[in-house]
Amino acid sequence: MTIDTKIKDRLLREGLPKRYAKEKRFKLMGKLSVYSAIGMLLVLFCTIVGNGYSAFQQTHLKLKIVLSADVIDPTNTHKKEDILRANYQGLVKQSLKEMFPEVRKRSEKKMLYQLISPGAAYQLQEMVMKNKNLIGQTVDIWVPANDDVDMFMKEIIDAKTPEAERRIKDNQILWIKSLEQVERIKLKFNTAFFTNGDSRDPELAGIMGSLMGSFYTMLVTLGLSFPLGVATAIYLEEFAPKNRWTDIVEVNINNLAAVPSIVFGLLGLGIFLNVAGLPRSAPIVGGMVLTLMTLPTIIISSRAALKSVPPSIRDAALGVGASKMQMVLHHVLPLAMPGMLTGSIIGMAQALGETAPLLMIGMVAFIVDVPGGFFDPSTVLPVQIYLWADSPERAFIERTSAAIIVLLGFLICMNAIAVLLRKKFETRW
Amino acid sequence: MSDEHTVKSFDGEINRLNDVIIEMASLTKEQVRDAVTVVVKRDSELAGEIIEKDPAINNLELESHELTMRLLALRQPVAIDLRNIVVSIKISSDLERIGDYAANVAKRALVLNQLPPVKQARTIKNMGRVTYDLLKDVIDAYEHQDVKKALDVWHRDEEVDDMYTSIFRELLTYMMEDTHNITACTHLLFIARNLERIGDHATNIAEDIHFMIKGKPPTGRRPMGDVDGEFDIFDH
Amino acid sequence: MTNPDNNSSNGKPVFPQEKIKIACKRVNVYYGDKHAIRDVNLEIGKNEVTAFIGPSGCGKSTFLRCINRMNDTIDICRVEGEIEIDNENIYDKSLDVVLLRARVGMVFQKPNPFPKSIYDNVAYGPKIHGIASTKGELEGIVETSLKKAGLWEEVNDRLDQPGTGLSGGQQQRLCIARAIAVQPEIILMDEPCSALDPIATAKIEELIEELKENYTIVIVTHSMQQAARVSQKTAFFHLGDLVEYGETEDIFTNPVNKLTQDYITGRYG
Ligand SMILES: Nc1ncnc2c1ncn2[C@@H]1O[C@H](COP(=O)(O)OP(=O)(O)O)[C@@H](O)[C@H]1O
Ligand SMILES: [Mg+2]
Repeated sequence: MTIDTKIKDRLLREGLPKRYAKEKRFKLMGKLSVYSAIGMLLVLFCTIVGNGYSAFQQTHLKLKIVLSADVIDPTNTHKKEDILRANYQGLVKQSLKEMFPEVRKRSEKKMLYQLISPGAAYQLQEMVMKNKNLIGQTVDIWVPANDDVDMFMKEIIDAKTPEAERRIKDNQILWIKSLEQVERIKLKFNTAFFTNGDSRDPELAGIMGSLMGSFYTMLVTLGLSFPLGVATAIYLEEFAPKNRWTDIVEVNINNLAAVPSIVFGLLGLGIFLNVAGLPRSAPIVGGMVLTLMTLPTIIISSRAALKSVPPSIRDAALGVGASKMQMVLHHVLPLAMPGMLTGSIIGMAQALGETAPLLMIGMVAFIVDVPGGFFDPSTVLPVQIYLWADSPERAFIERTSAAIIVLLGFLICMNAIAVLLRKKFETRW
Repeated sequence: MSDEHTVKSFDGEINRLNDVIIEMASLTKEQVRDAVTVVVKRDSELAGEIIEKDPAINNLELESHELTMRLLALRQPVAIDLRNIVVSIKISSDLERIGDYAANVAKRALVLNQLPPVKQARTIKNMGRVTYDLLKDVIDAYEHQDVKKALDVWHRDEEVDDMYTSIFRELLTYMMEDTHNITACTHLLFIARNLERIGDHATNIAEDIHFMIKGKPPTGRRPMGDVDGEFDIFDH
Repeated sequence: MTNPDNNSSNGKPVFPQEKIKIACKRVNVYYGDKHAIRDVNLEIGKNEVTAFIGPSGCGKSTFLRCINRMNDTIDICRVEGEIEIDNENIYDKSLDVVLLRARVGMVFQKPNPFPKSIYDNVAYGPKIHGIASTKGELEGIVETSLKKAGLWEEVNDRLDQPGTGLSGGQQQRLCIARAIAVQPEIILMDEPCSALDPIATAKIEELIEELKENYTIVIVTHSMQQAARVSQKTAFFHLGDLVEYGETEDIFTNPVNKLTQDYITGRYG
């Protein structure tokens, strides 16, 4: 069955273009899919950043406020209750009135006052509480403007739309213009967004509450799921006898990884809240629910990491007389650690972005206060995003996107840490 | 050999070595046969041929040595292969020696042919035939890996030794009777001696065959070799 | 070349009682249903090198791993029969494998140093067994072990560097040093040179020659030449049977069994 070399050569040559064409087509398809994926990602990022970047700035007004002692501290005793109860709102209004003395009509005055956020009064109160020497003095301070003013300043509300359809009226526009001329209105960095909890007023709403909620929840999840997952993986992989029982356990762990996350929420509601009586909306419960969800991921990835440790290392350890426990702790675990950490961080990232199970245990409430511990009611970042996305105010749209940016930033950081850890602990053998 | 090696070229090389030994053996066998003929028939022409053919045996021996070296260096043989190859070295040098004795017989026959015939040549003929048979059988045994035949040769060598002893006595008496016969008889004596040596080498080969196949030398009573070993120094 | 009177039945060597280090009696090994070692009886002499040869999958490694109970780590593996070291059955319930493995060291086919420093590799065994009580003692053990393994000269200036950074031959000698550091009586080697070049192989063989003064060595090898060079006794396994066991010299010049002959002369399969 030998072929004449010339014929063979010709046959090979004839076939070549076809083979190369096939290869080219395949490569092209691969490139196309990569580019389209990148394209989608870009679109996603662009819309989110495009929508959200403006939320990092907020319009502020500069007011000259007379902190008259009569209003704040009529008894001159510096009593805390008096200072807290004082009519700061009135002071703000007073200041505005002085700036625009020509405004007289009640309805116009009301419109004038609407330029300022209700948060201005709280800001004043806080300032005075912190520094009681200010009582009686006159201060120039920047206070947040109302969200409509903010929207107008960011040119999201168009002055050309008919006045009736516009949330900011013509005379308000005039006032803003005049303030601009004296540089008493401008966009400033939006600190409130990072330091405040949730609020009905968009200009006062911040992510701090949900961020801390996420933080506590993740802490609970990490603290529970990493040790549990790693211990389970080590036991199953290294110590458990291979029999029908462990097979069942293994199959079930794999199935758990595929269970819809809301089911875990139901479980949390049923057991942690109703049976164990843990507080609703608390990070501790959220963390426990998310632990249930991430455990299978961590167990599976940890087992894979353990499996990837070459058996020769185990033989070597046993060969010099190490006990099984010593073999695992001294040799196998250090080598498997990077894999386990990567798996865990990816599991954590998943948990960080999870909403559904948390809805079931009440972490969807409107919570103004920044939680201070594991048992305080709180929300988490993705739930906050969900809540804001539901709000009617125009200004919440940009805040939703801004919160998404923050969440994405966290996820990217976590993945980067995963990569770094793997690089750092990876031992070549 | 019984089975084939996994590496076929190993078989090829071993077979080539065995072929060379067999070729050498058959050439040597002819030389011995012809040498005896020369003595009996006083055929000087044939004697010349024998002497001419001797270098061929030497060349074959060299060739077998080269093959052996090659096999040892490249194949690192063990067990049966190792014994086969080591035995080849020994057999080839035995055969070369036998060839030399045959040539020596031919040379002495040339001298004898110049002298008047001596009647003891007839006894030499008998001894030559027995020696030749011994050699033929041992070569057969080698070709067919036949231990029984090799052992048989090993035992029969005694016969040649006995014949040599009787020829020795006969020639001694003859020389004492008539001093004119001394030259011819001395040559005949050496011829007989050479034949006896050929028998001994055939015995060696038989032993080697036994070792090659069985992995150990033959046991039992060893046939007596040189009765008059002290004459060895006269062997050229 | 051979002395037939020296051989007992089936050419097995007979040792005087005090020369026997390891005595295997009717050893059977099963992997699940697979009968991997069949009824092997074998005695291994003290301070000798014994080689196991045989075609792949004949059970050499399996049998070797019985001697330090490494087979315990394989779930489906079952060992029957008795293996005695100094007249003590190592499969006895009362015997602890950790102690056994401190007496019977092992060197594997692929050099497998821990991904740690050279020092830690050698010090690990003595450390976990508590052989050295002070740091100085431990350092002494590391040094003598590396010296015995013929590696000291090459690595004494870089003990803190990873053992995995050495060449293949050096790694294997490091593994030998690691085994020696526990001061075992027996060293098992499973094809220790199969991943090494001829020079590294020669160094290991030279090392084996030296080690045999103080240790009983059992080596599995695929290289017949190696078995012939380093061992005093050779055992030939085939499909789980011990076909022939005897003086290495006899096995390689005049094996009794046809299977052995076919295998060592390259007529197998
Ligand atoms: N862990 C195992 N599980 C199942 N069968 C095994 C295992 N290890 C070895 N075997 C089987 O046992 C037989 C002997 O193997 P092994 O001792 O490794 O052979 P060798 O070392 O002589 O090449 C082989 O047939 C192999 O398939
Ligand atoms: Mg093996």
